[in-house]
Amino acid sequence: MRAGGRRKYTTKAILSIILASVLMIAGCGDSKSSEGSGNGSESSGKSELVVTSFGGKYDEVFKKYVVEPFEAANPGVKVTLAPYTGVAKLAQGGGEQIDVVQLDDFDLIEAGNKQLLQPLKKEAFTQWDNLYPQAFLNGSDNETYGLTNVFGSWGIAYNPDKVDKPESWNDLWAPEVQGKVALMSQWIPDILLTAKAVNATEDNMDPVWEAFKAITPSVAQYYSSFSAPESLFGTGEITMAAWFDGRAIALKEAGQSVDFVIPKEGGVLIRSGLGVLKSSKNQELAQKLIDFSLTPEAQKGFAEELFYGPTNETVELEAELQKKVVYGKESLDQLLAPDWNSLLSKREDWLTKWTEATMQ
Amino acid sequence: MPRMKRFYSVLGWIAIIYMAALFLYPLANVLTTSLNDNGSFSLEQYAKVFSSDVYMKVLGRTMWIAAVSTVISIVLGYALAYFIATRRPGSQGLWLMLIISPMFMSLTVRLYGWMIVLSNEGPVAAASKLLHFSQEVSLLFSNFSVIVGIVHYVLPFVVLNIYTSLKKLNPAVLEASMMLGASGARTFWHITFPLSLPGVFAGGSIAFALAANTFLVPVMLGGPKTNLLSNMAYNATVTIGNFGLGSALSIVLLIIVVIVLVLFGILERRGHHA
Repeated sequence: MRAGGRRKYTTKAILSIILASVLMIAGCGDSKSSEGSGNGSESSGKSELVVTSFGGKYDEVFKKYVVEPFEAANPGVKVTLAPYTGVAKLAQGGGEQIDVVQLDDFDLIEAGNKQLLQPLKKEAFTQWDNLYPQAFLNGSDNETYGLTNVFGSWGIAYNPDKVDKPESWNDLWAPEVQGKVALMSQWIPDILLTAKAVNATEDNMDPVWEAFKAITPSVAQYYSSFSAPESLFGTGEITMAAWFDGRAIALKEAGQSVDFVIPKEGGVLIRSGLGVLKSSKNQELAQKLIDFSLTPEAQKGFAEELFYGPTNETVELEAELQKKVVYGKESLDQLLAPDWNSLLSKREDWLTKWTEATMQ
Repeated sequence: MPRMKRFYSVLGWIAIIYMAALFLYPLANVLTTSLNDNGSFSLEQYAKVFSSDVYMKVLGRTMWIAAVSTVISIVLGYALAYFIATRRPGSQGLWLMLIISPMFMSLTVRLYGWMIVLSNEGPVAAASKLLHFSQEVSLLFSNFSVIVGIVHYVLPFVVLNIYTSLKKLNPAVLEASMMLGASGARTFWHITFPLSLPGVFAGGSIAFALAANTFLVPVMLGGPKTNLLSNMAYNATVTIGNFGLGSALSIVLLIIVVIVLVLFGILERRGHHA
């Protein structure tokens, strides 16, 4: 009886292993054949450009204002959006199928410094001279590895029905918001603003870690994705959060009682940009696509639909919209643009210290 | 028959190669990464893990949350499995289907549902406000919400295991016990329960392993006080980029889970002999 049962079990196990291996082999075959056809079609004037993206509404807007005009101007080229791919994965060879990556500024600079990205040159871009100086993401060797297509500012979002308009970054520590605060997890802009608020210098960051230790019992969540505060404000779980303007204003426009303010210590400039992988076989097309994301038309679309600030000086926005997004040299220059090339060397130490301070 | 045997042993070897290539090799890779410091052998990362209060605290919390979740899952899972095993044979499949059906949906979506249920404006908070217990009830971002999420996640595995061992019970044994005058409760505690222990141990082992390794539940339902070791390993590897530390944390977690499971196995064998 027993042996019979066991044999049955083994047969099942073997069958499932066979099934799994068949599926796997089929999977490999599939990816190989698509790769093959990609290479084959390139020679006949058709090609595919793979661009990583952030998902959600961003993808929709990116398709509408960048991908579609680009495909229309380049017949035979197909742009495929791929899921977000971070530097850790790219460094492990995860970018083999990818041509263009969209990442935060510090990730693009780090990827550039790790020799994963192709330096970008002025000659390939029609919009190069129209960009604000903050839009260029240069590596430690002063090469430009990424171009920023959207700006944002990092500050405080709050629920005006529940709390007064915050003035200082220190207001996140106020007793009125105890237990109702969200900060981002392992996020250098939060660390930089806290350093300003407690007058710490980069040589002595101990007051910053003490401040994080002090605020942690009051924090509802250290969130890991930019979209997390949306639902937290929605359910009343939080009344104040470190967040950025684009998402906060989009939420406000959707009818939620939330507003955004830059504290008196200043805001941090948030940048998202595009870079071309060194391994890409479509260098020219990839750069052309980036150029498309920098046109006034595309950037206006991002400002209107996602409240992201334009990085191209020639973009004209309606007066009402100008107040909502990062717009114009003056408001841009007020934001702190982190010097990532010097910060990246401290990043590991800082984030480890941050983790230790907030684990209690 | 020998031909059949050879066929199976070939398949067995294929399975071993499959396991070695896709499981053991990556695991060995994690191990070497954790012991590697710029090309030379080093225990530095482990020293860091074991000498730091933070990591020890998180490790302790991980074990505690996993243990509590496992116990709750076993109690709930046993009740459910017993309930199902005593239904009419024809309807048991349907009940099992109901238990397993949440697994057809992404865990992210299900946990999002829990976020709504447990939030300030969710039904639990509304009921509590109605009964004037408290004005502000948020159950989210606490040990409680994390345990709720883990129990939700592992419960089907526990139910299936216990159900299987309950089904293996020989009804004649139960009949004999009743006929010899034992009460229902006595029959349960002296016959049914001991005989179903293998299922309890198997379900408990799976529950504990899954609970100790859970990553998504604390991310979604947890707050700063509920980070578990796998979250720290993720943060160390993906956000900070410290592969050595991330690997060391993973290996420590793996070893501890294996030790607990071995202890569980010993208990189970004892149970068999008793």
